Amino acid sequence: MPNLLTLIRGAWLAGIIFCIGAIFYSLNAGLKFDTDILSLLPESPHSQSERIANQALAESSNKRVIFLVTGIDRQQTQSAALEVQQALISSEIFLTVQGRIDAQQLAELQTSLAQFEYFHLTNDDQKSLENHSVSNQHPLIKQALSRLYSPMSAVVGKDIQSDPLQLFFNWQSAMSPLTAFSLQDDWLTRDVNDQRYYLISAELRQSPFDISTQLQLDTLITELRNNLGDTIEVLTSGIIFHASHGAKQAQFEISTIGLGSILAIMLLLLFILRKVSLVLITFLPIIVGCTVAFALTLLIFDKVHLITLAFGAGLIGVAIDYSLHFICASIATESKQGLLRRILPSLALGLLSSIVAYAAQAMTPFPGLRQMACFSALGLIAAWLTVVLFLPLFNIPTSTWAQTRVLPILSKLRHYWPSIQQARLYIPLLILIMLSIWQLGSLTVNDDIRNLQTSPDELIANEVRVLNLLEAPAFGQYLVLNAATADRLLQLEEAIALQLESIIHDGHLQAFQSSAQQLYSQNKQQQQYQLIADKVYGEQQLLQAFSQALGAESIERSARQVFLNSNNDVMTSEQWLQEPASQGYRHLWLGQTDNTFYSLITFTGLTAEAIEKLSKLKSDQVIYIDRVQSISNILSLYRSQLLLWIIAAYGFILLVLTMKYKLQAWRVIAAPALASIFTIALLSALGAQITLFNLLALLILLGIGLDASIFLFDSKGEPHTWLAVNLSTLTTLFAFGLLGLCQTPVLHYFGITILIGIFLIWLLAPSFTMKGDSNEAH
Amino acid sequence: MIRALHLLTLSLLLMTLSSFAQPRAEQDVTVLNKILAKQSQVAGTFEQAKHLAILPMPIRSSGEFSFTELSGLNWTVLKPVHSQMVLDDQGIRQIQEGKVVWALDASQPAASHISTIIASVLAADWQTLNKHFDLSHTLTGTRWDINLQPTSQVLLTAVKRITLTGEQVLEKMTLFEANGDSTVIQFDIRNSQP
Repeated sequence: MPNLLTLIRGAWLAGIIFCIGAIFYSLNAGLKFDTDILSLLPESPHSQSERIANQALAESSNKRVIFLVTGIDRQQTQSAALEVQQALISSEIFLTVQGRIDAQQLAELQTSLAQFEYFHLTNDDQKSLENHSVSNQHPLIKQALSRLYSPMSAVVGKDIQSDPLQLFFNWQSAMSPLTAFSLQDDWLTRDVNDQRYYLISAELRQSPFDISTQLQLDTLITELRNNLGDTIEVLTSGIIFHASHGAKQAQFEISTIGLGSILAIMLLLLFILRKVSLVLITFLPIIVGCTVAFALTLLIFDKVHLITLAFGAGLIGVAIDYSLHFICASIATESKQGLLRRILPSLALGLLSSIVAYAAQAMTPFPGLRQMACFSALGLIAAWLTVVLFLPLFNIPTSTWAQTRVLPILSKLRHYWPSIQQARLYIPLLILIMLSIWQLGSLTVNDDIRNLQTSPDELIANEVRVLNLLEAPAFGQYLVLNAATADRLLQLEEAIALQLESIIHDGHLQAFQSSAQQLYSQNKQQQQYQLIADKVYGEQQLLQAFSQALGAESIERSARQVFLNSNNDVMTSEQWLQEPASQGYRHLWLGQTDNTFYSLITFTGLTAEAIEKLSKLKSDQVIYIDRVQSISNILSLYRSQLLLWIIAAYGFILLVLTMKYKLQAWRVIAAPALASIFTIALLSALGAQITLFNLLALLILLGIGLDASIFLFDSKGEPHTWLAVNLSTLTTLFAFGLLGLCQTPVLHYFGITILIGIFLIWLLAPSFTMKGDSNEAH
Repeated sequence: MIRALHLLTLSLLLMTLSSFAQPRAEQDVTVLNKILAKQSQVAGTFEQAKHLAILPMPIRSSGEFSFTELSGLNWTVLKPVHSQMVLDDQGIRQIQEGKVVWALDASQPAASHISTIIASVLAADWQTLNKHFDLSHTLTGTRWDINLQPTSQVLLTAVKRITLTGEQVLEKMTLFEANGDSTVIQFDIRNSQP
């Protein structure tokens, strides 16, 4: 047997060394931390369409950064904008920086789509061509002449041969998206309250979650703001600013919580154990646990979320339980022989119960939560193995200080601890239970996605200001369309557009944006080409009437020649995507995935009536999505599912416990169960709304509460176990309770629930697990 | 989260067509203000001749116009056909038989900048013109010629230069376009108020 044990020890040591190696390897390869709060969300939304749309929107928005430069003095502001633009370009962290517009860019835009000009008509012009007979009183002729006779002739005159009736001019102006910003001083600008805002937009080279990019951009903006002084304001908008803040906050919280809890725990242990070497031995399993958990999580998940690490810092508080029980038993007992064997069943059951709790957490569909559960479970197993395999190898002396000073005080304290059999406890407890159940009746829940928010108000206010100035369409609500071919998708968009026009006509919607506004289906393009060929360029048609009305008959022949020589192939989606003019629409065209084409339609000025109508468009090919609503729905769904999971976990554990403890099993499970109910009732009474993350904490309470109860019950309330439970409660309070100080809402909810729950478990566990007579141990 | 979804917006903003440029030295403005002071109201008749390279004869039109700082420029063609156009802060509106038949929002500078130029010219708003053009002038007795040279590369793609001539009031404006076409407008100003 000792040979086998040595073998296992060797294997475990090899495993630990492997993990250390793996960490060093990852560090060298450039460790990538995930700071995206959204990766805490379920990875599989309801439909393929929604998934593709979300992914496409994330891709096109993640790397986008917008700067607005503003000030009172226009000239100063404009040169500041140029300075910002140049600084952004020379920083080399951006792939593109778009600020001051240059002539060539503009010329390209102007001529863009021109080779397809005879395939595009506005709806109004199409109706005019279809409905009015040829005469010099034709509305299109009157409109075209009136422009040529006004100063606008400087704009429309140059295209008189290719576009005599200004049909393409009409179309170009109609399909340019309406924006709040317009070209002034060669910049896209907007004037609000005597201040001119200059727009610069840029695309990052790297992901916004790349930490070195975040640092560079941070420094860059701080420098710019310092250089530009107080008179110039630089507003920013972009995922990167939130990612950067989130990363900094998480790093700060991890280091403060991690260090804070380690320091507090060390001081506590030093006070009780009175020996540095003992404290180090106690910490050994935790160090091993964290190392192994970190290494294996890296191997399994590729990227470690910073929140996982923050949460994992709380692992210290749980993993130390095994060490504490072993060390406390050792310092209190003279004969070390068979010590491990005596406490091993409790240790094993404690580990099992925690693993069950984390397993339930791992069942949730939140990738972030799964990673946390995995990290914690692996860490606990590693710490447990280290306690069981290595701690017995150390020679741990009996502590007289603990035996003569600490244990008697604790025993005395325990003497006053009421047992559940006593009326002075069970009556108030029953009243409390009833009060709690009554309080739970008025429980309010909160599934708002802002729970996932980490950004401070100031950052959000800045962002909101930029978005309001931009007057951008709401990208949280959209239609996703799909069809088997690109052309069918465009036909579908055209059909939907008719319904949307009627919603606009009813005044429930301001505008919508769809690829088909610029890229017509082949059928529509052919029809429009034919209409133009017949009604404008046909013999004795509008072209002739126009030339005569203008008194310039030579136009007819030359214009017809230009038309006949022009390209007569329709525009394909591939060609359209290459055109500079499609820039404002490309993000709506999601392209092909698995033999299906997808596209989006976005909205401006959406009202509740419009939303109701849009939801009714639902079919196999069309789906209306409200991102915010759908995420809140998911949070709500998982909150109720998690509640079932918790109940199931209790049921399962009760079953396991009954096998060992028979009819006494309720005593073991009562403390975590009641602590959970009281905690939620207390939070609710204090006015807090219950979120998914409070419930997650209940799972951890189950694990920790069972640890304490099992040890107290198994040791028949021996003083050293009582010491271990007290120490473990305090360490858990230090470790998890500090999470309650986190700014990150997820961690905050988690921490505060654990904080209250652990305290209650510490109060309740002894009363349930110790029989009245064992109080008389000393 | 919601913010994240809003950020796609920029590319929408790059759909524009023409533009203006940098501010110049102020001294020209002071001199020009002495030659012709800024007007808050101008009204009169016009004759426009549009010269197109491909046509042997210019396209001619005439009519009335009125400009006020508040209501913008109202351009009414009486010959050869009757038509009306309003150019103001909101953009351009084309009116036929009392109904708006076509409108261009001011955020789409394709044509709305032309209204800024012509309104500034009529109002003798040298301050505004100075932001987009190099201003130079010659005086012959009491007659003056003012030359406007675009300072922006972007504006240059549409307008080569603009010349203004007059005596006491503006009499003629010629806009030379980049492709060789030109627009000549002769004004007969009857009513103007500084």
